[in-house]
Amino acid sequence: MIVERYIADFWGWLLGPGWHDGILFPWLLYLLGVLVLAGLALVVLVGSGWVRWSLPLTPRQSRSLGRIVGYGTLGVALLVILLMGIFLLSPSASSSSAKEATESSASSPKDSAQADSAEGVSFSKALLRAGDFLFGPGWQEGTFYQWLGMVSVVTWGVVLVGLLAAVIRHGPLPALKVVDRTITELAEDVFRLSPRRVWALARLAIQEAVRRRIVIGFVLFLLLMLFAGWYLDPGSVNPTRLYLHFVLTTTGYLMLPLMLFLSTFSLPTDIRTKTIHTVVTKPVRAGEIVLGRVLGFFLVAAGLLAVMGVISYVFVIRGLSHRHEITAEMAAEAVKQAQTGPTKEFGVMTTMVHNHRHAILWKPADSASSTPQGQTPPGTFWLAMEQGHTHRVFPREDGSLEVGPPEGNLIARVPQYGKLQFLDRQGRPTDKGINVGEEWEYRSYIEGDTNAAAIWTFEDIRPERFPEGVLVEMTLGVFRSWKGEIEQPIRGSLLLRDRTTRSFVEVFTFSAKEFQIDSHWIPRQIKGKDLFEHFVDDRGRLEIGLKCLDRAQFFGVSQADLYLRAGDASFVGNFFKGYLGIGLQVLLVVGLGVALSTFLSGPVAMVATGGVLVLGFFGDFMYRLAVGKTYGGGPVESLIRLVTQENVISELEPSPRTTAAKMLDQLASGPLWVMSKMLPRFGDFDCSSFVADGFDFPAAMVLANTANALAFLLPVFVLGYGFLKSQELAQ
Amino acid sequence: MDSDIVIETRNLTKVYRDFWGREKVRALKALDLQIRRGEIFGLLGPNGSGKTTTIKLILGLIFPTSGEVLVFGQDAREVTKNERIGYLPEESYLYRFLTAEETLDFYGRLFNMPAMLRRQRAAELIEMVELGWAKRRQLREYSKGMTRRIGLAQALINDPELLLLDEPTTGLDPMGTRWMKDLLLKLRDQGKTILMCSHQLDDVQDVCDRVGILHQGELKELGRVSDLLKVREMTEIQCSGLSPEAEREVCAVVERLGGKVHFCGNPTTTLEKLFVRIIRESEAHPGRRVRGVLEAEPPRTIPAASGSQATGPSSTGSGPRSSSSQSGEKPNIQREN
Repeated sequence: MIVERYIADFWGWLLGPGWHDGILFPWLLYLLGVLVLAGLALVVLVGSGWVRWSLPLTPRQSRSLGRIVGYGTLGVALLVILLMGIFLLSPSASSSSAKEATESSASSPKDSAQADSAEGVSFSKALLRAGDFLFGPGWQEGTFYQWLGMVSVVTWGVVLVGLLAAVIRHGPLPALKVVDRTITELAEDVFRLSPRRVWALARLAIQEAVRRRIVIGFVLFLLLMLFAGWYLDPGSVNPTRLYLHFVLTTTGYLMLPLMLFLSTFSLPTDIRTKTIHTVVTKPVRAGEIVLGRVLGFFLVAAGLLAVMGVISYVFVIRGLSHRHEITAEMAAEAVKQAQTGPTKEFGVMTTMVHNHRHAILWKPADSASSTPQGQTPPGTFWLAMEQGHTHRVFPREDGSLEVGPPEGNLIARVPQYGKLQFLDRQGRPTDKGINVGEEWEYRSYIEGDTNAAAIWTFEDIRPERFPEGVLVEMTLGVFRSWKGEIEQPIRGSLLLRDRTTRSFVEVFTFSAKEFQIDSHWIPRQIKGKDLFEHFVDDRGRLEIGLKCLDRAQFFGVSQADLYLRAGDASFVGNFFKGYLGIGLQVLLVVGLGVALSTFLSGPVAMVATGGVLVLGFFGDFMYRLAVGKTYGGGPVESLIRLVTQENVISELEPSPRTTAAKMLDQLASGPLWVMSKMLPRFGDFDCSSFVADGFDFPAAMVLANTANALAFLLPVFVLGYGFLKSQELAQ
Repeated sequence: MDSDIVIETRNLTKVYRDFWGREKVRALKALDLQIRRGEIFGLLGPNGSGKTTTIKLILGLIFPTSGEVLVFGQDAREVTKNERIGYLPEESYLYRFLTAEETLDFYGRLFNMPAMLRRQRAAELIEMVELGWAKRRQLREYSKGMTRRIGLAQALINDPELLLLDEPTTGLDPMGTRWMKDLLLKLRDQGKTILMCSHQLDDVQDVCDRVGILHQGELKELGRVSDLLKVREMTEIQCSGLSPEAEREVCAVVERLGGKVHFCGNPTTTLEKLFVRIIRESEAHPGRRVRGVLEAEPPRTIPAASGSQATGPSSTGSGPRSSSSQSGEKPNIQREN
């Protein structure tokens, strides 16, 4: 009996209540995933020439190996299809798979990135997050498995269609021979890739680009940079954002069409001018031609991006650079005001440059208060933040002050997000604040001069991480129910929860700054109490509350609106990540362009790749359209609404026309869903908003994006290879 | 398969089809061909006879509709066979933005050659095709003849066992043509196999060991040049040092023995040989007018025996001749009336 129980327990452990719920099934799939990824990495490494390696195989041996690998891959693909089919059909899995189906895969990296930020950034954590994204917390939610399933289905689809075409053309038996040869040669070529040949073809692509057309793109970029200075206003509310957004967007918009053009016209030109004849009559494999082109053009793009990046950086620095003047009288007045209290309404200001002035502040020698920039030694001057920056000031001998270059604008904040909860006007805990009637439900509102508050709970607050105190940054939405004092901003207060009394202690009051980031320093000592001893509990949790102080006015907050600035990453590093994002987009375009140009003429390949690019940017919309989450129905229904001028909310009148439209939309939703899942979401690679807004782009997202790009490139590469191989190049 | 056979086609057929799969043209019909190691094989035929199609099929640039092509015993689509092949296309389809050096380096890389070997081989070949003075110029600046030369150099970068040449002398001046033919014979002597197709019948005759004549996709004639061109009912005697009297006596002897003298006199050379001779003389003695056959007295002829009929022009070419080793004169077998 005992033995039987042990055996039953063992099987339960191994296979679970449903056969795939145990440890074996996910473990096998995980192993499979790792193997495929390792294989992919090997191909990329060897193919790109980073690793010089080739198998010393005789033709017969390599043919046998090709056959084993080719049919092995097909077998694995079939196994994946069967397993996924069984899983999707089994009742225990239907609920979770339905959940999976309704979630956009694009949301996964963002979620994990946000979670990553909440925990602070370390490379190992980032790697784990990327692992979660690929393999999922539960295995079936991993994007990798979705990808594997999709690739397996497509692979078998292509094999069956190819077999059918071969049967029609050659008859059943020769068709089998043709398909067998294709599968074997496809796999064999992977082992016979020569890094030297790939590099030769990559070099050729680089030389072609350099000696033909690439200069045009570069000249255009320089021209844009030359004239952009006339139109970009360094005196706008957030000039840093404007400048950074401009350079990143311009680079992207210039590079994508340029590389689209280069990559789609290169191979067709070679085929048209027959120069390809002198290449394919050498021992060159089709895979090497495709890989060489992709690599070459990507390197061209990388070089261009590097140069453009440096030019952009200089452009931004120069564009934002400015100095204010502070005379001896201004400095003396600032000291006087600091000692006696303000005599002017706005304090003493610097001269106006770039449409702004800074308040000149002086810290008395006996003052204990701190500035947002950290501890400022007593008896020194500093300038208030304006347009997201400040300047360092140095006293001159004549009593005037020398102002340094702008500081604090080119940053890459590493925010630590907390978990948001609310207290209602009676002070009772609630999940949401008030909806003030805005359609966008991103923010929830708290009412002023009541017990309503927003409370963020932050984890892992340790003295090692925040030795001098905590820098809080917030972007608040303000909703006014009456006009109030028009020149007075709405006031609020920031609170900390005492760990023993569980009551809130007010740290400071502030005036809300709308549409910009407001920084406040919470020092280590608050009203004589140490931050870590009195406010952070044993598990390292800190609760920060926010209240609105003005009656009948509201603060709107969301979880990401208030965060702790855990530190700053390197801005240059973040700027690089911005260009890396563009680089990944370019890589996808180049890969797709080269693959499509293996069987399409240059202009057609360009239009097709451009089409994928545009559709890819609207991938999220396509997905929502496919799952019926858009207003106004599918394509046919919305066309009817457009013609009949119906609004998008109201239901269409039941009629045969409506039924037919809905049926057609239903039919279209399948292909739309497949397309939205298969096409790369180009928008997801764009991290210019992170860079421009001054937030560090998390490493997990960089990894996830890279994995995404490679995952898309692999089938695209096989597509291009297959077409080039099966084509009569001299016809 | 006989290891001496480098190329073998069996029942090779190629049908070009349109987009809808309808037959457009039957370019090659059941071609059976064997090309042996160390020979120069010429494919002859008018335009559209299937010469270039055959070469493309051998290279694997297009695929047979039926039948098969074996190169070194391997299927023509097998990529590894290309390691032993050099190909000069009809027009040198090269990357015009590369220089001669870069071109050879690029093709050398495609053969997986190490850098040292590539450099050495490229230098040798550039010297061989006499383009050292223009090796750093982009090919877009090259004349047609220069492009042809660098095209041949790229075909030889891997020291191939088999050379496939499509119209090798197109675009070359007479000096270049002679240079090319000499080179082909030299390569043949080194043991390389050469398959060429050409419209220049003289060139084919001068260098080829065997020829195949294609017409409308079918092989009409195949054999050794010497056998195909032999005029069996004629006898040719070439001698020098005979006085006009002696010549008349020889003719009389021939007629006494029952033969018929069609021509007796000084033979004429070809224009190509004349041209080459003048240019070489000019290079050897710059500034001096070349004195040659142009200033020699007109060829003497003696009347043929009465009753003999004009037999029309024919050739007495005696098989493949090394043009560099020839005396340069070609007997004129033409009866003068």
